[in-house]
Amino acid sequence: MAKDKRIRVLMAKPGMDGHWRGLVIVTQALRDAGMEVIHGGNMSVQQIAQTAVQEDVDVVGLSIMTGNVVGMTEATIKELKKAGKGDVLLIMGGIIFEDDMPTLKKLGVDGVFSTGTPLHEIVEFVRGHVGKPKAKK
Amino acid sequence: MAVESPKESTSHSGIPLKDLYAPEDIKNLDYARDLGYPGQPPYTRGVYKTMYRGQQFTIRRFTGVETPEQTNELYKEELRLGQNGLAIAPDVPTSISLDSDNPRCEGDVGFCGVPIDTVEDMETIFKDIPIEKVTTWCYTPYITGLYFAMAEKRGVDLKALGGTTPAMGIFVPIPVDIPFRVSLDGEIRMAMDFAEWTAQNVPNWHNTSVSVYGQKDNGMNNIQALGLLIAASVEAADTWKARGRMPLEQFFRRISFEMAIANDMFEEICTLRAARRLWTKVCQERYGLTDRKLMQFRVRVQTSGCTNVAQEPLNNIIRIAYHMLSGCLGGAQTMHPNGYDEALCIPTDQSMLLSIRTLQILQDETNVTAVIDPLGGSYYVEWLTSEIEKRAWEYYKTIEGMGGICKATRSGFFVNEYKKANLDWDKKVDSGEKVVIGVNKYRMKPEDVPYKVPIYKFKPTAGKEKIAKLKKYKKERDHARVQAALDRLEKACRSDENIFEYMVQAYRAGATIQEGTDVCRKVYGLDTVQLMKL
Repeated sequence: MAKDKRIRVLMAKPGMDGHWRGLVIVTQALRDAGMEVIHGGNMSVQQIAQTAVQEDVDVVGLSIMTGNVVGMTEATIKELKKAGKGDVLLIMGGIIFEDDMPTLKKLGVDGVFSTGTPLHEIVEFVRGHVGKPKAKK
Repeated sequence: MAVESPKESTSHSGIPLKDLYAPEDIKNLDYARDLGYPGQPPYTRGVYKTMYRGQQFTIRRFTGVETPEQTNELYKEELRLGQNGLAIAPDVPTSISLDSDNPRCEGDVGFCGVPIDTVEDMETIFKDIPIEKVTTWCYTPYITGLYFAMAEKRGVDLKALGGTTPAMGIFVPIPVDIPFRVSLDGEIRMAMDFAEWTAQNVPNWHNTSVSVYGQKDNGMNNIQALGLLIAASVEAADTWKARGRMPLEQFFRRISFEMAIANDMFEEICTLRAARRLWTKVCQERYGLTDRKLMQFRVRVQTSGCTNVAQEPLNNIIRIAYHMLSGCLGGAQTMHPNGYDEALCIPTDQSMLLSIRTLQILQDETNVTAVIDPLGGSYYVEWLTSEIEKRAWEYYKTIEGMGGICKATRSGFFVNEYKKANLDWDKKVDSGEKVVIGVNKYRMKPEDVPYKVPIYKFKPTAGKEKIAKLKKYKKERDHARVQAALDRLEKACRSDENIFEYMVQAYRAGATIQEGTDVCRKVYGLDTVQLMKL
C-alpha cells in the first residue's frame, strides 16, 4: 500500500461481553504506532461488517474473552464476506484455546495474539501483513 | 559483596519504600486510637474479637457454567468438597439482564457463566441445595430477585436466607460500557428499593454491599480502589439518608465490601487494615454512629484475575496461594481463589478442587489463622497501613471535591483514570519495569514449556438448547398473570412504591429477567455515560 496512506483499523468485541481491557490497550498501541483506529467497543457481528465497509478499514481486530472464540469468529467472517470485506486483515486476541488455533487459521484469521503478547509484536504483524494477499489456507 | 546504597523500590501503588522500617517510622502511632484490639473500633486489627479462632473465613468461589443443570451439579460438588458459600457467576446476557433468546445475545448465551432467564432456571440451579443453610452471593438485584422468587416458591422463609448482593456497587464507576444498562438514576432507585425491601424481608442479607473488584482488575491501584470504595459507600449512605425512609443505622447494619487482591503482598494486607480504620472514621465522623457493630468493615477478597497469565499457567497456582495468604493475614471474612487456568478457560474440575484445597490448606495446615492480626506491630506493616490510609483518603477527597462520585462519573473523570491506569500498567509490563514471570522475564517459547493443562470444554449446543427451553417456557406460561405483574411493576416504577417488591412478584408470576428489567429501562431510560469510548 502507498506509504502516505495510514493503516485503518477497526477494533471491536463481537457480542456483549464487558472485558474491555485488552481491546483498549491494543487500540492505543496501534494508535501510538501511527495507525487510524476506530474503537468499536461491543458490536454485533453485523455491525462489525457494516462498520468495516463504511470506514474502509484495512484491518479488523477482534477481542474475545468469553470462550466462544470459534463461534464468534465464524459469524464475523461470514458477515465480512457478505459485505465484500473478506480480504481484510483479521487479527484477534483474548482467551483463545490452543486447540482452536488450526480452526481459526482455516476460517481465515491472519493473526492470533493471546494474553501476554508484547504489544510491539502486534504492531509489527499488522505492518508486515496489511494489504498483502491472504496466506493460503 | 557489600552494597552501599540499595536499589530504589516502590510498592505497586507507587509508594516509595525504604529498605528497613524502625520505631521512628511509627512514632506517631497510638495503640488505642489507631489500632485497638480486634473487635473494637477502629478495627485495624480485625472486625471480630475472636477472628478466625471464632469462625474461619468463608470459602466462596464464583461459579457458573453453560447450563443451570450443570451449574447445580458443580454447586453440589463444591459443597461436598467443603466449600461453605456459593456465588452465582452469570453468563454475559444474564449479568446485564437480557434474555437468552434476545437476538443481540447470539453467541454469548452460556459462555463465561450460567444463563438464568426465569425462576425455573434458578430452581434448577439450587435443586437439592439447602439454601437456608448456605449463603449465596448474587451479582445484581435482578438476579437476586429471581433467587428470592425461587426461595418463596420453595416455601423457604426469606428470614432464614443469607447472602450478599453488591447492590451499592452501582455508585462505583465501571470501567466498561454495559449495553442496555438502566440509567444511573434508575439503577440507584433499584439499589435503594432493593436494600429497603431486603432490610425488612431478608434481614440477614448483605443488602448494601459495595464492590471495587473490577476497578482494580482494570488497572487501578490499591489507593485508588480504596478511595473509590469510600467515595461510593459515602454517596450510597448519603442517598439513603436523603430518602429518609428508614433509619440511617439500617444502611450500615449489613453493609459489606469486596476487593480484588493482587501481587504486592504487604500492600494488599495493609490495604485491608487501612480500609477498616478508614471506614470506622467515616462512620464516626461523617455519620456520627455510636453503635460499634455498625462500623465493621466486613470484606470478601478475590484473586485479581489480571495477575493470572496464560504463559506457564501452573505458576498461577503460586500467585493465587500468595493472594489468599495476603487476604488471610489481612483479616478478610470471605475468600475467593480464582482457578489457575482462568487466563485460558473457565475453571476445570481439577482447578476447582485445587482452589478449594488452597484455602483449606491455609486454614488447617499452615497455622496462620491461629493468632489474630499476626503482623500487627510490625514497623513496616503499621507504617504502610497509615500511608495507604492517608493516600486513599486523599483520593477520596479528590472525588468529593468534584461533587461526589456520581458527579465525577458523569463528568468523565474516570474515563481518563481507567485509561491512564490501563495504559500505565501495560507500558510497565511491556518495558519490563513490572515483572511478570514467564511473560516478560524468563519467557519460554510455548513449545518449550514442559507441560499442558486441561482445558474446560464447552458444550457447543448449550446456548441453542437454552434458547429453545426459554421459548417453550414463554409459550406455556400464564400470559395474563405475567402481563398483570409487569403492569403492576410499571405502576410501582412510576410512583414511590418499592419497585423491588413488584420485581420479585413479576419473576414469581413467570416474567423473565429481561422482561422485569425492561420495565425499568422503559420508565427510567438507558445509561448514557459512555466510559470507554476512546
